[in-house]
Amino acid sequence: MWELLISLIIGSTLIGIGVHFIPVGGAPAAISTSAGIPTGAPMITIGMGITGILSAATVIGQPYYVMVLVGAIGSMIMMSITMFFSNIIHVYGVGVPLSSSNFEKDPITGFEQENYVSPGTTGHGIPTISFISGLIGSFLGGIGGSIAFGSLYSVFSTYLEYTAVIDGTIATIFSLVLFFIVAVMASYNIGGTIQGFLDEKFKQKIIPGTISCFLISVVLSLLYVFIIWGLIYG
Amino acid sequence: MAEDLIPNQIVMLAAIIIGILCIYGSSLPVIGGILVILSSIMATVYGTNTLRYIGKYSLGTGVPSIVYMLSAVALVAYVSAVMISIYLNQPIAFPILAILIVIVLSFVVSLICRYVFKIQVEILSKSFISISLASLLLMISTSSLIAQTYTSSVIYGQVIQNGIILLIMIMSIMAIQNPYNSCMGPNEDQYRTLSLACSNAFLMLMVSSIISMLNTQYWILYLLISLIGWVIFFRQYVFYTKQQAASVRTFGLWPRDDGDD
Repeated sequence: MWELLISLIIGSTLIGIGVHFIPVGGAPAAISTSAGIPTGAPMITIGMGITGILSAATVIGQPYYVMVLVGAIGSMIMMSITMFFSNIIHVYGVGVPLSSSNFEKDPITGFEQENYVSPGTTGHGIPTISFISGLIGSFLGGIGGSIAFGSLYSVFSTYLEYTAVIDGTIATIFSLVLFFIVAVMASYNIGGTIQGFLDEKFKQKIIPGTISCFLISVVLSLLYVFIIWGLIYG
Repeated sequence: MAEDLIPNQIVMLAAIIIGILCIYGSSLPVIGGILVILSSIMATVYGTNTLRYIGKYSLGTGVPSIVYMLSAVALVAYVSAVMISIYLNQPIAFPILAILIVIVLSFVVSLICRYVFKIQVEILSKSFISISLASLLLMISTSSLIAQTYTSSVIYGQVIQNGIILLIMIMSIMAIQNPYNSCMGPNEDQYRTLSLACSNAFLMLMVSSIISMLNTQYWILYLLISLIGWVIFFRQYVFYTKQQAASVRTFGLWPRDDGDD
């Protein structure tokens, strides 16, 4: 049970840290007046979590590290497809260059963004460094979700005498609920838009975000261990 | 916004008392399903009416995410109450235990929001507890409709083990958050929002009553009730919408206070 408690805490804290890396634009990004993914942080994180956990569930029976890696890769694929098609629509549909006013120069491409940001907006689309930040965030979130899923599934399959399908279902329910709660708590901490790890806002928000995600994950994990203890020995 | 014609306290008391009584009556042969349909409607109205107050404050992210988080909290409380009542072998304790656990959990969440994120809203704790309580009552009612009883061991076998609980959770989130999120604005009105909430709840109950064919042969009755209720309340919603948009529809006058207010 101690391994389960510790891995649940580590998993949900990783999810909370990962949410801060994802470039989120919210409703302003949907009308191209702000950079980032055009939806709220909870929605994109829940979608990422569902994809990661379902792809981890496809390799049930393989070793633990395979499950964790497959979950992380599933989340990264989902996130990169979302950001790529969002960029395609912004460039070829709306007709705006990918830029952000939150940092002057893109450190990877060396692109000076200032002249390309439309007046009155804070950028549009997802620039390269934000894209990479989103990939890092989805990697962390996917690892967190599949650590939680894998440890729950291994406990269920060891102690309960159900079939693999029922074990997988219950483990999926429990690990998805973690995403629902931790993602919304993290997005309350972000409060609006963020453009990845190069943003000034990221440096202010990451430490209180980590602390609060750790606190809520301790509460949730204690309750989870209590539930699962009752399920096994009850 | 127009004055509220139904106070929130009355909605809250009615939803909690009628909800608990109807859930305890859900084991009755045919009447049980109808009682549970009533309590689901009450719970949806309660959740939406509370969301109308807290949704006016800007919490840093959109309106739906409040309901997403608090329904997940309610689901944790639901599952843990099922486990505890199976462990204690007291099936009658399950709804009361779930309500107690959800109050404690959502209070902890609201404390973290208040003291770590510094969200300064006075009605934060009360609203968080109310919304999670409403979605808990909605989820228990819907799963009692599917399992045809509130006994925790049957619910564990019929609703949780096969994963239907996730579907119920997503449906109850949609039923609670959608009405306010689609009606919000300067001329948001209580009757219009709540009639949309009722029609959403009936729409959700149509799906649940089709699933309940696993356990009862009276599912067609519940489906008919939900269908009739949905038609009535959706017509009512369209009526209120047309009534409020009368100045634009009839005279073509653009509303003057439409803006940041």
